Amino acid sequence: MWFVMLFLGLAVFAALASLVVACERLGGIPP
Amino acid sequence: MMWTLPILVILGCALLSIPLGWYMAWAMNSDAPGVPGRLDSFVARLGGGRCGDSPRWHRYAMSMLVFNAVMFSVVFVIFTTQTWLPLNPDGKKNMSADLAYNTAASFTSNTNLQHYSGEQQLSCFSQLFAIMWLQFVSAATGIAALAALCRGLSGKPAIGNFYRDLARATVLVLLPLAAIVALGLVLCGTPMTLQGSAVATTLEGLTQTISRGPVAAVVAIKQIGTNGGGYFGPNSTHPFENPNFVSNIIQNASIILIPMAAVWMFGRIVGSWKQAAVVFAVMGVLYAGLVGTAVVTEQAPTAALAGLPVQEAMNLEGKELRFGSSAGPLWAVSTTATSNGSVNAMHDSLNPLTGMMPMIGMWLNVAFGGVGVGFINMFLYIITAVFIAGMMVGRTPEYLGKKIEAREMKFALLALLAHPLFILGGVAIFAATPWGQSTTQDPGPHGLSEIVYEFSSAAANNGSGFEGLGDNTPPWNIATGTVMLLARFIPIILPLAIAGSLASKKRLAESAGTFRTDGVFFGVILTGVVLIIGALLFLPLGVLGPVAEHLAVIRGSGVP
Repeated sequence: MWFVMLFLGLAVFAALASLVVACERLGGIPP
Repeated sequence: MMWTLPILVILGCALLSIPLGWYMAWAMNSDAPGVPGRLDSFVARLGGGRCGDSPRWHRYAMSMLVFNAVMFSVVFVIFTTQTWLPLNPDGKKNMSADLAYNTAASFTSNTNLQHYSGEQQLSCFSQLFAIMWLQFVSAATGIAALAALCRGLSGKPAIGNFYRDLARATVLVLLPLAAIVALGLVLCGTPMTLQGSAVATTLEGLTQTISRGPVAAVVAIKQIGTNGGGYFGPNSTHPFENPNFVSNIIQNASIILIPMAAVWMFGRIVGSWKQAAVVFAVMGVLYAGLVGTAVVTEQAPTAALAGLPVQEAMNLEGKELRFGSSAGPLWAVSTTATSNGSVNAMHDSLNPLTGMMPMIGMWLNVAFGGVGVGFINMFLYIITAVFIAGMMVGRTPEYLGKKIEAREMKFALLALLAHPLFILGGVAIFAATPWGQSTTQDPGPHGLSEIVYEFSSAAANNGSGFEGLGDNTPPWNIATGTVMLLARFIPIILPLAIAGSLASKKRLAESAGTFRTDGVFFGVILTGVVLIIGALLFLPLGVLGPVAEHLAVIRGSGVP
């Protein structure tokens, strides 16, 4: 249970990082 | 008399917020050498010289996520190993994994939703180095994100460096303010000690254990950083956390001061006081409206005492009378409109319609909102309002000279719709399954309100509880923990993406076709957009919960 909870938290942060990458590819980057 | 305290607190904070906002802009955005420069050099040395400004928003966002993921992991380990760590004079046991997950997510996300009781389940080490540390850096994360957004909007070539902004927000903004507030609380009688519980012998000869600890330090940053997590389970209703009328005013003012100042900080950085004044006025109208309604609706006596041989002028159930009669509803709105979450009265005991005001505060999440993120949330509504108004009157949708196009609108609407999705989705699942049904204290509309409040609190990163709900169960801990993390960072990442997108565009010169966003007309439109998008999405929940309960009281069928 200990590892499951820790990895769940890290998985949420990984999902948020994916959102950043997706937004960047959609073009939210200054030239 | 009932209006004296609300007027004193709101007007006093509005006036104080102007110089504080000016100071925050200097602290976060000054390029001049001096204290900020020396702090930057220190951070750069810590980072091995890799702490320069980044022009790319996604690097800033990634730094923020990496920092917060590390903080989450470290405090999770602290909570689950505190028995073996130092500063545990009362021999507190380790937290269970699901409760530690919820608590780590709660404090990393600046929510401070507490499914535990601090004085029973946390050691001094956990209170100081996990809870209080996160109360500083999670609030600093919000201020840093706002500073980055403002730079993106102001046309600066670089959006900044997250670690540098984090250090500036912590050391130059939060630490000095927390020290001042903590000193005031100690003078009011709040304990500040590293000794364990005191053991006293009562008049009957029994032994009583009285919890104490570094309470003033924890309570100061709890309020200043819109954190809300108390040292004691009963939060600011506890006489050690909030001893008297003066400490109550200090704490209530501390809750809304930085969220108000953040608006002026935005105005200073983007160089337009008029833009800031419009946003401040809209937030102020929403906030004052909620406070006014809550104070008025709380004047009716509670239905819980109906038929009993007692005389009540107003609802005094669940109130701390040492703070005054209007202190409960004022605090209830302040703490929920600003994503603070601390309480000085039992929200479960509020009259049904009064209890809806805190919920509306959390649903809107922009009546000043959390530290830094309150303005960021309002920025999403601003983008939407500019686009809608521009389309309606045939003007070019622009904000601060930058054209708002489909890409920015997609990001804004994604962020705005995430909030109701977390609340409505969570409520639907828990109201329909034993995960939620078996944990409510009351059946019927009030039981639904308990579930709605819990998910609203988690999604708004608020942390207050309706109480009565048995929320320390694995389903509640995991569901609200996950919602808190997602609801914290999605509405930061997407506005940063918008700022990055706008920063890449050329600033357009103002023309006859420009739709002005610094006047009363835009303020009215912005208020309408907030109410239509923010409030109407939650109308069914309001009707099925608090409104149904209110009508049952009027009809005489009573409260379950």
